Amino acid sequence: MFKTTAFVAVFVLAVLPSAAAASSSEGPAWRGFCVLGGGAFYPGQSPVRSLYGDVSFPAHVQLGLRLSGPLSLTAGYRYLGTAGTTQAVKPAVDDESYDLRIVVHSVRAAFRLDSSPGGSPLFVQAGYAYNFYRESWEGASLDVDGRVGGAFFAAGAEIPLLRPLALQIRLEYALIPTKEGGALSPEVDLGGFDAVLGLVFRFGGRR
Amino acid sequence: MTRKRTLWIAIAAAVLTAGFVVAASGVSEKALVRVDKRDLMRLPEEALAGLQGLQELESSWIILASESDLAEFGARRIPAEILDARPGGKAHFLVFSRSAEDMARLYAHGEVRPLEGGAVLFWSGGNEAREILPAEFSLKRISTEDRFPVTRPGRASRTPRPLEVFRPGGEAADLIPQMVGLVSKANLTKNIQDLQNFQTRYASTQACENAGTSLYQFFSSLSNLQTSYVPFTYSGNRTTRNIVAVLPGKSSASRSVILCAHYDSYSNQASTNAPGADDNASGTSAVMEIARVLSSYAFDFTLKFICFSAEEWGLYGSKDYAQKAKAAGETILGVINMDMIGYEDRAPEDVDVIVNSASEWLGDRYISAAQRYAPLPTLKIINGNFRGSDHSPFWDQGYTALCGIEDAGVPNPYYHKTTDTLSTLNMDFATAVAKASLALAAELAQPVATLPAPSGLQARSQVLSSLFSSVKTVFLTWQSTSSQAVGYNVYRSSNRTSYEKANASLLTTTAFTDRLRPAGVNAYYVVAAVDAQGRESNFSAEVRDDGNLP
Repeated sequence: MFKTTAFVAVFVLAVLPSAAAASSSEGPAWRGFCVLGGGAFYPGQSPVRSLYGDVSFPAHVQLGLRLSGPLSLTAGYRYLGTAGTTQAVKPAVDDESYDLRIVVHSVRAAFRLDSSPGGSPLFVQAGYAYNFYRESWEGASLDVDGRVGGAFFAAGAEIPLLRPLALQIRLEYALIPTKEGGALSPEVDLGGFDAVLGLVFRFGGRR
Repeated sequence: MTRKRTLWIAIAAAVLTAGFVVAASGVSEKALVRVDKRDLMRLPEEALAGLQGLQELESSWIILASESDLAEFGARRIPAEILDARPGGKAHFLVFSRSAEDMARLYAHGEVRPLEGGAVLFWSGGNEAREILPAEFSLKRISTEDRFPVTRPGRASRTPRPLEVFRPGGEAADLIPQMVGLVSKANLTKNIQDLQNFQTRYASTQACENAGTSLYQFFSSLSNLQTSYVPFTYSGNRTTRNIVAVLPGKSSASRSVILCAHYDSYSNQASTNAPGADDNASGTSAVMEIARVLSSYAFDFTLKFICFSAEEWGLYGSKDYAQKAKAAGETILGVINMDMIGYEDRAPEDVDVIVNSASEWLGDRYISAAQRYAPLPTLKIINGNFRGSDHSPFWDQGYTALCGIEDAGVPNPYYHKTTDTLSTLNMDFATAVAKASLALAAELAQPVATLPAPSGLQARSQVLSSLFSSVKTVFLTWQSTSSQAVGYNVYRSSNRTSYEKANASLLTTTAFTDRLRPAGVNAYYVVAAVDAQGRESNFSAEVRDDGNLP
């Protein structure tokens, strides 16, 4: 995860100087695009935050195909893997704890609407994801896994860099309502807010 | 010729006598008769074996005699006193009168036939004597359904004296003073107060059943005991329950020693107010306290702690138990019945140890234990007519039994009154009786020289949770009770019936943490000490994983 984030950061620093010039000119209409990015995820539910921390770092891949005008269809994948520790439910007697790990794989499909047909800095996105999750305890056979669908929403902006690249910044909100839970929450939602920084590769554009 | 004539005369006399007896009594089927034991010895063995004994007294038998039995008596010139020529459909009771005034009062309520030693046969149709007689009488129901073997004195089918299996002295016997020292006067007092707080424990009231439930809960809270309700029917369709707690023997569980007392009470306002502190919360309290102490030890033979109900109605609870024990072929080494052990009409009070002739050895052993461990003045009374308490049905079934009572003559002025309360009792005396009874029970059951169980077991637990799973961690601590303990085993149960060992290897400290237990299920724990030979003590007191007593 750290490598992904570092790569994105270095790349952004390398291409940023030309971004301003490129963004001022009218760009071509691209047939499709691919986004590679890393996010900062803030879980929406407090039990998730208390076990796994306020921020974790998922990786994102997204492939888009322009349908007509400003409308695109996207398919994506999100990977979140993070570690945490158990929490003592009252009464707390001892400070013992177990290490935890949770992994969420999300396969996504969405529609994206750009602010203009030719491609523009602003877009919104709404779609549905199918999520596979697994929580495991270190040193104990207490793994729990499951699958659940949930909607997600995003809004963002793209800053053109050297053609055909662009920098994408988007904010997502995802729902992953598992319908199961434990002592901390009877129904856990693994969703939340994701601030994503990505590199966009556009393809199939007309000159 | 002379011999022939004599024979004919004898036959004629026999026929005439038999005819006279039958004609005089108007007997058509069976009759209740009383026959002297010495006279019965003149019967041949087969005739004796065919008799249906209903109640043995000190010097006579009450028999349900058929016409042929009566003819046999007549032929042998055996006097048979007809008590009731037509007993069918009636409820007969042994009633114990202590004075001519008592006797006169009985006549006002029904049919009365004086027997011997203050015992009287009483009936009033099919009525329960308890419901028609004044409060001061104690009762025993006599049923024509019973059939006790009428045996020759000295040839009774008694349980053999268990002396041949008793191992006095040695390491195990040294445990008895330790056990006696654990008897708590405060606990005895509290138990009596708790029982008195039910207002009444008169069998047939809900309060009596509630008292039975609390006794069940008390015994169930003691580790190593297997507690059960034993329901029975009395007086037609009434039901109530004996409470039976069993400490299984380690080497010979089929032999048992019984400590018992009745927990029901009676007074002249029995339905609403019968505190029965002396009669017989005192005996019940002693059974409870002795069970508390002894349940932490191991014995060769089984110990049974029994609280009987419906004693005041005519010994129904103990009769039901003794009948079933006999039918099941139980070997009972001795029965120690405690009935009224708290009132002191003179100082120092002695405890009357009442036995029949077959149980005399048990009385001697009680006196020895009382002198050695209590100490407590005692008075042995051999009186087969003393039938007014729960030892009596055991005598009927041929078991060895004694009754420990403050005074056989019942001088307690609060007897069967609403004033029979804790404040009238001498708890030092009750404590001494409890100690003596415990010592005798322990001697008979034979302590096994293993380590004492650890004490002070405590549990604390916490739940650790992830998003989807929760587990419980239970932290257990306890105290060692012997320097000979080299380790401990912790046992866990979810149903309080079957236990599994929780530790993988012998624990060398007095603490254990049980991890990864299901969070939503309560578990119960006990701990046992282990000595250098690998012998394990009894279980400690049980504790629930959240620290509360079960």
